[in-house]
Amino acid sequence: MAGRFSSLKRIETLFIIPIQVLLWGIVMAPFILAIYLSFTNWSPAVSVNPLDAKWLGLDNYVSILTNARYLGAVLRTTLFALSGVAIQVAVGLGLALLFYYGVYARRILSTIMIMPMMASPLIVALMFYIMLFTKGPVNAFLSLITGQNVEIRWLSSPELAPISIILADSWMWTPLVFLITLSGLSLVPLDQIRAARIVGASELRVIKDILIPYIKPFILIAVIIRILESFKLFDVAVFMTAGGPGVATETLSIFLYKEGFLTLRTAYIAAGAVVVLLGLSVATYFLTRSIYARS
Amino acid sequence: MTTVEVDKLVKIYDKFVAVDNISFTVGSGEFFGLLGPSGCGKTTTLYCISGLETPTSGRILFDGKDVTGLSTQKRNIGMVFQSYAIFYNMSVYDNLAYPLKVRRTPASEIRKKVNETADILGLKEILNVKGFKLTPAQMQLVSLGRAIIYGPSILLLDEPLSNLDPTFRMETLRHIKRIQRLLKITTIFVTHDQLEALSVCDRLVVMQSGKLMQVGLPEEIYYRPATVFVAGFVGTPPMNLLDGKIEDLGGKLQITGPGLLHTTTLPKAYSVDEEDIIWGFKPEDAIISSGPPTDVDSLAMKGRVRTMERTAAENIYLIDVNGKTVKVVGYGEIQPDTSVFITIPVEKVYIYSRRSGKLLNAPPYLEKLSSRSF
Amino acid sequence: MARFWKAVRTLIAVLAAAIAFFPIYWMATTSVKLPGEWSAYPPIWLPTTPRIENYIVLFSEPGTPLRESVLEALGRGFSASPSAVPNIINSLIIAISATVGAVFIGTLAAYSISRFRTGGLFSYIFILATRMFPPVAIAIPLIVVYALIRWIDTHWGLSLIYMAVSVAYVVWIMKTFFDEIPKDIEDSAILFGLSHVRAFFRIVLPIVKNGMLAAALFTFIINWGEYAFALMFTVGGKATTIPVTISQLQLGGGYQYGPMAALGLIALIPAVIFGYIVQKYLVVGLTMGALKGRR
Repeated sequence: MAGRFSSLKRIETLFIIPIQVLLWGIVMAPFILAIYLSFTNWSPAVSVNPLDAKWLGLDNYVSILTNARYLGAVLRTTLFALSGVAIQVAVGLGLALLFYYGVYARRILSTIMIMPMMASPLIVALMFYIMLFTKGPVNAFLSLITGQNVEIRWLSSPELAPISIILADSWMWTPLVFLITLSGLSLVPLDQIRAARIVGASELRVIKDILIPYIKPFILIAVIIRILESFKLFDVAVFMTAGGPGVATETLSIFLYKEGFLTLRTAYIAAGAVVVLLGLSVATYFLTRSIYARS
Repeated sequence: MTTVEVDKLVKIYDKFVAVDNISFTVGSGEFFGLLGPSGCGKTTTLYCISGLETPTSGRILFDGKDVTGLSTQKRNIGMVFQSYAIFYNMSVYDNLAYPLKVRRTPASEIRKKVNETADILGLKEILNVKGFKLTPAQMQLVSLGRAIIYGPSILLLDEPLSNLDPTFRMETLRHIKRIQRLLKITTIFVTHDQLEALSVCDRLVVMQSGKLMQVGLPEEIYYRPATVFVAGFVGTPPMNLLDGKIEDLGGKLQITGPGLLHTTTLPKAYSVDEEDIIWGFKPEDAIISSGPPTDVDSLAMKGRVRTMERTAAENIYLIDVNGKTVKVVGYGEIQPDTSVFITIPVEKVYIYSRRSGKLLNAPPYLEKLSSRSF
Repeated sequence: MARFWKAVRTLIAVLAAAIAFFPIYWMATTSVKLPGEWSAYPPIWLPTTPRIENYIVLFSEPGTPLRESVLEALGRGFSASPSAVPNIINSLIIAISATVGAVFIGTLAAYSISRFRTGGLFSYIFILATRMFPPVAIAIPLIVVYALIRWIDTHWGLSLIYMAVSVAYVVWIMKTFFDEIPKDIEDSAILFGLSHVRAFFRIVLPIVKNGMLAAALFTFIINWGEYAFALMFTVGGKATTIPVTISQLQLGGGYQYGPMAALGLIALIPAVIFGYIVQKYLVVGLTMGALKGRR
């Protein structure tokens, strides 16, 4: 019996060691170092050795939290994340309901519809980039259907560039929400839907009262996944508009990258990253707790 | 209340014929049964009546009005499902209130009706309990309450007792019957349990493989099964059915068959055209004896007792006759492997056509029973 | 009547599929067009004579006869572009090795967490949270360390980073698969005399191999298209991956849309194929957690 328990303990620790080593080595240790550096004035331009840096206390934090460009980036990224997710959920849910109620050629259509998910963000950026030229296919199509000469400056106008980014991001990720929601719908017990119809509920009521409550946890998962990933928005915005025009599409990651890598004010940037991470961690903690609490 | 007419109903799924030209009528306030084994099409028929399925051809009429094209929501019917289908996330109160909410009934009215219904069904104590916390029997009662609370004119029940513990079935069935009589609501009750169906239905239909085998009062179904199938399906245990031959010997019909010890003359009441037949007798109509029967007017068989099933009231012996198993009700203790004789009074014999399966002759003794004429 | 609505739903679904497919289509057609046609307006919706010159540029070395043969059609500006083949190989090596590592490490960890709740809920969420970190935050200190040990611009260096950032999804997916296996299976193996470790490899693992495949393909897709880390750690060097190469083609003043699209398409195809195979298991793996306690 003793042998059994020791072999048990051994497997438990053995199996968890590789991931701990990996994550602490590559992710946590640098991050902790970054936290330390955020309290200093370290910059690789001056010296690569972290110990050479001077302690600045909370100076970096104060100055970054009052940096308009930083705050703008945070706000912008939040906006991108939330509006992107809103579109993805609205469209994804709508499409899932469509397929749930039944369409012809279901397999072909759903195969095509989930293709965007498989592309990497950079490829998506490339595709939208060559589509959104002022003299490109999208404008040409719009011209065709409106009969007027449409010359929307998707990528070069400060108002529209963010929309283009959100569109590209949503195009890419709506299929994920679609799939998750559809699988949730397939689990709704049919008899409850039938019972609701029998007692007189219209289709809209059935959707509202039966289907949606059942798929809420699924949508929640999709939303959490999407919001967290959206905060790292980088590839699409960098490629399509390089963060511009001006700072119109400068997401948080782009801002940190430009300031950190290109101006090398690294410690300052580290503070910015830490602040965001703290915010996200708190948000995730509460969101995840609410999922587990429900079930 | 409403009458329901099913007119030449056909439902085909992708080449599988689930319902094959069924027609019957349910009278106003009647407790009507759809009885049959799994897969016979009874649930499909019920779904067509409810509008959850659309018939391939045929019509459904409520009070003479064609509702075949009408959506489920507008048919004003109530339905109880085998899986209860109550809304698990809602409380009992909300479950009952839901149909009224959908009809935009004012809140005070809702409260009144919910309390009334809860009273009738004994759900008062659990009004605030959430659906998923209820026992199956409670769920079924809530389901029943939800089905009638908005005063539908027709109540459909799809095997409501099948998922319940046997101990709760009788009680739930009593609730159903009580509500039905109280509201005088036209009810259609689908089940595969013939005991259930025969004990509660005013009239019923027996189905098999999508076809209608027989329609009539429970007594008719039980005492005059119209086809071999119905005969073998109804009754606990059902009728014993064996191959036989009818010969005409000088105006008198003689019956012989494998297993029968001798040819027996059938009484004058029998008139059979066909030669190859299937004859049947009910387990409770035969007599077991250890010695050879003395009565040459009865049919006689010899066999070996295989096993015995005990029920509350009687013992059912499974007797091996010529390779076939025959069930006979008996009393006392007979050991397995004993050789026994079975005697069947000749006026209790059923004759069926082997070709068509239809009833050719019902036993004459039925004429003598009670004042009921059928 | 029901058929009419089904047709309407199908129409909308077709519209969605068209939107999903068009960018891919546009990139594909761009990849077989000549420079003059790339930004033609009105756009050339269906190229009548597909040309493979763009692909040949990617697969040929400057100065070779093969390269020379296409320069006439593409213009001499392409004479010096390096072949993209090394980059494709880099992407393959790095993505495959990172995937193998992540799946191995992640599966072990997932087993430990599923069976023994190692580290509790907190540690589990912590692992999942590593996906939250913006690449820049981790990269800044990490790049210093890498510079010191000369791991910048190496296959192994980048692969390790990829392992770390993609292992979280492996753990998530594999944990849900492990959760579904009753403990009795290992218990009976142990009664047979197998140690816990052997029971795992011999008995449990074969059961989840579908889940592992799904996790592997999903991880591969993520690592194959990763851009931010690749950008920061391998620019212009010998370990440059496909996404970086594509973006470099953009910056290399000349806007080489043709070859960019060609390379993009090459990058897209394995991802789409894998993604299609994997989508069913993926959704199961990601959403099982929402089902606890539901009927």
